[in-house]
Amino acid sequence: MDGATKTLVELRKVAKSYGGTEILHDVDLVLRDGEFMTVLGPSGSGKTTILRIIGGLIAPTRGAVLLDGADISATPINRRPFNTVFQDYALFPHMTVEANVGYGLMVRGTARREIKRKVAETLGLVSLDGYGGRYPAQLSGGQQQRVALARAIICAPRLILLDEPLGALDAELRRQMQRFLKQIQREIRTTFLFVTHDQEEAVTIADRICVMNKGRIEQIGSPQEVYYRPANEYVARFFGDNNLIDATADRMDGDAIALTTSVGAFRCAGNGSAISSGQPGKLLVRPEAIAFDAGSANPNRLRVRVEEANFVGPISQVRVAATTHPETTLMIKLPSRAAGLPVEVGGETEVSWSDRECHFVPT
Amino acid sequence: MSLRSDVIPASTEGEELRLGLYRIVTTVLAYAIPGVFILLPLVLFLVQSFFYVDHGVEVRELTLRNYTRFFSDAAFVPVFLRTCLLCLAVSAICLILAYPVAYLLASLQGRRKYVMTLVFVVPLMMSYIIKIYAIRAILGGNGFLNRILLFLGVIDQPLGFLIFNLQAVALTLAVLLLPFAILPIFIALERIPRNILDASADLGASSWQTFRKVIWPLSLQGTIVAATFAFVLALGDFVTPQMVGGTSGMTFGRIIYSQFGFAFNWPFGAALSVVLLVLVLAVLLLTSLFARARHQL
Amino acid sequence: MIRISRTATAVLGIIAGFVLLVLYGPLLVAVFFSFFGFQNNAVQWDSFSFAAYAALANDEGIIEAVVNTLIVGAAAVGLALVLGTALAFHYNGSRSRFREALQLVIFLPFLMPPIITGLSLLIFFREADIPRSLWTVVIGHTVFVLALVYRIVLTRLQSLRSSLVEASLDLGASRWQTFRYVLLPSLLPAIGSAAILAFALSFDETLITLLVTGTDSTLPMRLWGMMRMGFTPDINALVALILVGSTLLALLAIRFVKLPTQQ
Repeated sequence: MDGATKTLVELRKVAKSYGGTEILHDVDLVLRDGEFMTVLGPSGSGKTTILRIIGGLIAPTRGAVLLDGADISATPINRRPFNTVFQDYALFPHMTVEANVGYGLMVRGTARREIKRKVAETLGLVSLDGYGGRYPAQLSGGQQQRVALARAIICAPRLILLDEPLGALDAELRRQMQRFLKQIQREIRTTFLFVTHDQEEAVTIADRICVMNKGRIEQIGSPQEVYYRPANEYVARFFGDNNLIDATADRMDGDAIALTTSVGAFRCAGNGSAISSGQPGKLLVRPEAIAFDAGSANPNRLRVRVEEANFVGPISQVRVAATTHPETTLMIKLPSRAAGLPVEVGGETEVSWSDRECHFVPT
Repeated sequence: MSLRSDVIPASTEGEELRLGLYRIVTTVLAYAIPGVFILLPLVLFLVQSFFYVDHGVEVRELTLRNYTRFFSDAAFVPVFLRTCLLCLAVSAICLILAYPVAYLLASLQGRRKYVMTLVFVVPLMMSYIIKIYAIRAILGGNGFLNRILLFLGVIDQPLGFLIFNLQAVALTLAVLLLPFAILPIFIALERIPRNILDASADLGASSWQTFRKVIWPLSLQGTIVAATFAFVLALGDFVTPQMVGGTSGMTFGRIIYSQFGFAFNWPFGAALSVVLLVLVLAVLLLTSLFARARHQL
Repeated sequence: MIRISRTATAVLGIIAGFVLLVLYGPLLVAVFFSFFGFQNNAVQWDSFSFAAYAALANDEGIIEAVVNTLIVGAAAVGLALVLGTALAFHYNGSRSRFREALQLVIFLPFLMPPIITGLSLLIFFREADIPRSLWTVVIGHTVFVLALVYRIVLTRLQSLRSSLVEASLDLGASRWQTFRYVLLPSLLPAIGSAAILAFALSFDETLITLLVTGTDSTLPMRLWGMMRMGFTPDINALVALILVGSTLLALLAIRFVKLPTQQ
């Protein structure tokens, strides 16, 4: 979906302080028209603050919010063409589903018949036909979620802001809703800004991910970029059980980097950015990229001792330690087989990985 | 539910001005109305207590003579102390009757609990003066009780001691204030989590031990609130003593009221009320200190 | 729920029965004698009549007192609702250091003995040269029930999720629309129960009224005057009517106010 390149909303050096404590530090962010952007970070990372600043619920301490290139920092919340799906849905408990969904049109003075028609249409879009007469309390969590979404969609906003909307749902419903949101977003071709702390959810749902930590943006990129080519150690650690080994970049060899570590020398594909010789950092290998087959042509090889093996359903996890330097351990994930693992706990073997599957993260 | 103050203000300057003006006006009103109709009268009342009356004319000079008169004139301090004792007695009667009732209500279940609680709480909403009247109609020399006793031949002269004395005042106040005492105790008992009681029983405590060691300490705060309610409400009443107290049932509240009626000595009445107010505030303060201390345990 | 033995239940039951007798007995006796006469120390069973009630309907003093009571109640409740709601909004939206002090002032007339509230208003009216009338009674009652209304509305206001207001604004509503369509409907049950309780309090208020009233009397004062004369079947009839009225009001209020029940 990278076809859309027109900028919709831009944050320029936006900062927010509460009582002298700055919780958002000079953030720059560009939202492209029509994309599904996820802001990902742990609680307290400033991700909800960004959403509330864009929505107009709070004013930034410094910096500017731009819509189509025009500064809207002083535009009040009720005049921004954005709508929010709140974490607790914030459905009006005393109104029916129909009244809830039609609220945005009603306060704009839309004719009653027109409201009725649009509400029916929007309820159809979120598969809630026939639920118009019910009250929010009579709906399940997933249904309330869809009412909240319909209530935002009906106003035809330029941007829909979603504040951890799936947090209260159970795992299965969550996956369903992720697919549903993605599908709706394609159907109505509206930009979504989705805030979550769940990295798996972010990877599943987003066109682009903005990873946040302590009030700063750590990386912005496609799910694949963020997953395979983390910009720094923080992002690398945030996405699962990455193996990270202290390393020094030795020299550039075409597009590849030669690395020296305490357990030997390795080669990694470069990421295009210039890296100086002697640059310290981490060698990053994803656990599923490491193979046990000694006969492969992979350039990166390491003699290890199997420390621990766990069967966790579809995959098995094996922890190994370098024979020459037992403090260096690697986590390996491989598909489970009825025949069991190709290695035994306590045994020695050789593991290998491709130079395309590893990555150097400078520190 | 109002807006956070850092919500972006309305956009145009005119609107901002209007909003700012609106804020100022509402803030001024918010302070002015309670200030004029609650605080100012209280201040005037306090000041009044330092004036004095000379030959039926009010003299507007600040003096302590009303207070010295209260403490030096033998007529007032004894009544004050007797009224305190009376209210303590009312409070005690209320507790002795209210605790068992609240306990019984707390032990009921479902609909029965709801209905029974209503039955004991509804009298709170019933007319106060009517209850006094009804009690007087029962206890009076011509009252229902005397007539029944006469009719049954138990007595041949109406009993005079049933009414128009301090005992009658205490009993009437106790009846009036009972629902006020039941409610806080009931709420305190209801707040005790069920699993604590189960745990106590599970650990082998008898129901008496559970009561003594668990329920009683946990309901103590509500019980003290109940006692305070009864005491403070009894203290300020002057209609009940007037209706059932007769000449021997003089209370402090009646003396205050008479200063504004027959005696027409407002400054002295105000001073006596200040004394009453100080006592009430002291009791409320003690109760809240006690409640806070228990809360920290 | 507390569990108790059968013996304990029996003992507590006897005490509760006694309390019920004390609470309701005198009132029921009064109601009884509004229908029956009493002569020579014996109930006249054949004297059942509604004569006492008919007499009430012709008593202009009583009717005037009832009307006065209703006027005072309605005016005081109306004023207290507007003021109490406005003050609750002010407290909730304010970050001023003085808001706690303001709240204390609002609570004062409810915390202090009514005689103090009544006396201070009495002195205030004299100093301000406001002649005592039904309107001074209205002010007295408003000040008295204000704390109750304020507290009930504030509690409800504070229990509302802030996201409801945010959602309304987010959907394009103005502040006024947000108040009209979201806040007010959410507060209505609280405002309703506050109104009923406040009216019941006002209806019954005697101590403050006695101090600040002029020549017009309200029902409790009329009763107080009648009782000084002695007992008549008319009073009993009035008692019965007021009892029915306050019980209905109490039941109505309870429909709104939930009793604390075990989680």
